[in-house]
Amino acid sequence: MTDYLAIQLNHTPVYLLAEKGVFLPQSHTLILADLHLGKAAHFRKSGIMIPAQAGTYRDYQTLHRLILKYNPLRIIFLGDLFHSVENATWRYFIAFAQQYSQLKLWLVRGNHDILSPARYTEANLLICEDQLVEGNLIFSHAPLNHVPPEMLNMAGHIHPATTLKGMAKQSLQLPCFHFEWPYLLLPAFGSLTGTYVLPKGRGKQFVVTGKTVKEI
Amino acid sequence: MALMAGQSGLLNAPTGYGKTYALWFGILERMLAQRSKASKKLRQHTFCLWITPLRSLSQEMVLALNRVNEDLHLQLDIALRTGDTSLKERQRQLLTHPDVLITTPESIHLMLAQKGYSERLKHLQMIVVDEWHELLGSKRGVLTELALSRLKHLNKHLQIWGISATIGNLEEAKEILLGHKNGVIIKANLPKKTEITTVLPDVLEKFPWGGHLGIHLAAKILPIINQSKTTLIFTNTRSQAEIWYQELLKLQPDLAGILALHHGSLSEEIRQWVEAALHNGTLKAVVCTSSLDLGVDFRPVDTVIQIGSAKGIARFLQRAGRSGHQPGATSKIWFVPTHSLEIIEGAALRYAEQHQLMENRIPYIRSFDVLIQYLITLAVSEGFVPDEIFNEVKNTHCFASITPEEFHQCLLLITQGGKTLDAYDEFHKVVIEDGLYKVTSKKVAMRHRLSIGAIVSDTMMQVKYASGKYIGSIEEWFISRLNVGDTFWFAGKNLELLRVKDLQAIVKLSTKKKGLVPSWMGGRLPLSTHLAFAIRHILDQWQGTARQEPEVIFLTPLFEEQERRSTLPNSRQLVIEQTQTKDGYHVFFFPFEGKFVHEGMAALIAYRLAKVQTYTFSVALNDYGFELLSDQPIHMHEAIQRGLFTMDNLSEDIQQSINMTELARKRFRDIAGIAGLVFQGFPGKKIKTKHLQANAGLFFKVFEEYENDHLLLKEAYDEVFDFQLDYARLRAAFKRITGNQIIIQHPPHLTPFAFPIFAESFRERFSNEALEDRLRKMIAQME
Repeated sequence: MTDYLAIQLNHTPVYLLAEKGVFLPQSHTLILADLHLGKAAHFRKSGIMIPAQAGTYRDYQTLHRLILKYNPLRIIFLGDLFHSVENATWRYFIAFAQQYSQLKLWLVRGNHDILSPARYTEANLLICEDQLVEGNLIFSHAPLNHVPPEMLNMAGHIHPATTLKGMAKQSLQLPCFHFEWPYLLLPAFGSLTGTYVLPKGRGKQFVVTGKTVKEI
Repeated sequence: MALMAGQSGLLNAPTGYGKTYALWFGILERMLAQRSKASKKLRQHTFCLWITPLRSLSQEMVLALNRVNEDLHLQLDIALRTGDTSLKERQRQLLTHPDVLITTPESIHLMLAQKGYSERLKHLQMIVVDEWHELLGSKRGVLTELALSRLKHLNKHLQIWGISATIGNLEEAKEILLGHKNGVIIKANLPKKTEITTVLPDVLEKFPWGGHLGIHLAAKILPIINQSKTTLIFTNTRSQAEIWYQELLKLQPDLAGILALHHGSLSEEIRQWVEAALHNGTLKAVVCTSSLDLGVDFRPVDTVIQIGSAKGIARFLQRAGRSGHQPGATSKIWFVPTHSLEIIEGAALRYAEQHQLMENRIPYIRSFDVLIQYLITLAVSEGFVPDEIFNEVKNTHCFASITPEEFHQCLLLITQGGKTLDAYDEFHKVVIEDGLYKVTSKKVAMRHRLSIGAIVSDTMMQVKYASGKYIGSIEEWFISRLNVGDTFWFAGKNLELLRVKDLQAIVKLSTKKKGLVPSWMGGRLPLSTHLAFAIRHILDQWQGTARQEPEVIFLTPLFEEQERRSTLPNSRQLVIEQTQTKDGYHVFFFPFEGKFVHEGMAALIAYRLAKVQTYTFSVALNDYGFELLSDQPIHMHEAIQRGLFTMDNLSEDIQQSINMTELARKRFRDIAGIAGLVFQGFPGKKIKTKHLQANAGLFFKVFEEYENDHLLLKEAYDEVFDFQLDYARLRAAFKRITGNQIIIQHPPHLTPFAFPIFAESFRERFSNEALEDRLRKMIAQME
């Protein structure tokens, strides 16, 4: 098993990454959905006793690792980058953006992205209100209701997961990529996020464990 | 008498002996005596708090006490204070201080969360804790202990009285309630006769399964209902109650109007109507759940029917006691088994009743989730000084072993949200001002008040008619599976879902005959130690002293079939059956020790098997035995020789094995709710909790990863050890088994004892295979 899976979607080479992201080798683009950064801090500000370092540290670590591994020219965040209203941990994202100032950072705004425009500007984020169209790909936070013919919609928001069943009545629930034309739904990148079990239906699903990615 | 002398104590009497009134007259006497000589000021304060475990019970109590009040022209202000009490009435109570407040443990904590509580409650003279045995074995008992520790501090001469049904550890129950103070136990020593009859099916099913709720016996109980004045029909779950209600009406339509339904999810209005009708004797029968276990007697009730295993002797006899209230009268109870194996319980219950086998109620200790909630409660109202509260808390049974270090950790949790801080931390809950710990944020205070309590349930949805009339509440996940236009059975009616709005499901009556029945989570009680013992005794004696019992005579063909295919388990032999089916390799064990012990044993045995070879097991269990199912063959003989059942390292191996199962995660759900990590809110009360929702599982994962010595996490593991696995009982059971003869059988087909376990749909997982390996295998199997 490898840590990425190279497939063709809509005539475009796409890598599905074990780290719960997508890499487009032609445009050197990393695509990540639903990071929900600052979630622990938001909870703590409201008096909920979650450990301060929960999620944040590991998620940034994975981000750094992905950048080293795939050397992208830009990152597109498919919404829900920051969990809620501003809190002090936004500074971590600013530091991240400064460290990789050569990277272009796009945010397709999601329902959780409610920071003021100035905050995004200071983090070098280019904001896209509801969709970003590039060639035959459309990037959005929630899957679009109407996708033009011949176009593929990459989206987040759903946090897809699937349940595997095996011999001896075993079962296993894992986050997954869900591909069902014309959608590719990405698993939530943030480690402090829940999942939603999506029936496979007529689509294809690729489960991720953090180390491997595998079609089921 | 003891009461007049200013003593505290515990009153023990079986249900139906007017114990409530006995104590009440004592209190009245004491109150009138004190008040006649007391200053006017003292007379203006609340004299007595009467704590009951159920809201419905407190309602009945107010009515009952007020009846005495009117009869004797006492002109006392006896008021109710529960979660249902209106804001207006609560404000009146703040101003006029009723003489007696009937309340629940949660409502007392709500009072402690109000500014000025110490002034209002310091003149309190008397506390009665009704049905203490019921509170004792739950975290609501801890809530009661903590509230008492505070109230005792406010008034050193506070008198405390408990009322308890008979339990195995009555003395301990008294000590926990009264603290270190010496008190008396007063027993109403009147033996009560109970007549237990099992309703037997016409045909013995040799391969029983637990799925059909005993409904095929419904026709058999109609004559019992028809021959009685009023019958209470107890079921173990609310969904079972709904189904039985439907079935009885279908079989005998003229019961319409005189057959009612009563369970905890129905609206207060419906329940009160049923209770009033029971008192008046206008009902022929009521299908109910534990919601009618307790409380003031319903005189007209002369017959009780128990559907399915009552799981415990005390519970069964308590239910039996709901009939035949006159002292000396015989309680009549009919037991309706839901599958063939359960029939044996009828004989076991009779044996247990004759030999007075009574279960203990195990109190919770070291419940840090409740302590954290309590500390915040105090911080919300008047603030607290840690040293003072530490001493009070340390004097409770629950926290007798708390160390200053542990208490300090609790303080750290509520002031800075944990041990370690982030560089840019903004945690805000409890603040310290001049040594006083208090909550200053209104939002924090409001959220806390709404989360007070120790009962954690799923998000509930209110079920209402379009007119707005409230019918009851159902778990959200059930409603979320329905589409508009779907019908379901609730409150004995077939309802069609019109729309869902916020946390309300709007419905209308439907004339359809089909519909889903909501199931409610919870209610997976294990067979008690004592009942399990009694069942093993009957199995031992099926050809001996028990052979004349009607249940044993009826079951003999099943026992013989079991003997033919394998061996009939009993208390001297552990029978292990290995069978292969298309699902894989099954191993069945029959220790007859109850679900919880089986859960622990299954995990332990799976762990010990997997020490030698990597395995993934799916585990199924019931009260009689358990099954390990694997995709690989299991070599039992070798495993037993290597020490599968050894007592060596038992505790360590259990610790190891439960780390790998999900028991602690499940326990953590309640802990997270009580400690305020997961905000629950109330049904229908919409509170803005934007972006603050996360499930307990996520917290569990985070604590495991970042703070694995967290108090609440340790509590989850301790609870698994003490309650879920019931370590003391597990150890005793293991010890018993090591002295047993072990018989391994290889029946080619499933046996009558194995079949019901095999048919259990609910399964646990145990695995020590790496995630990636399991994934690879599963995918390979699919191809």
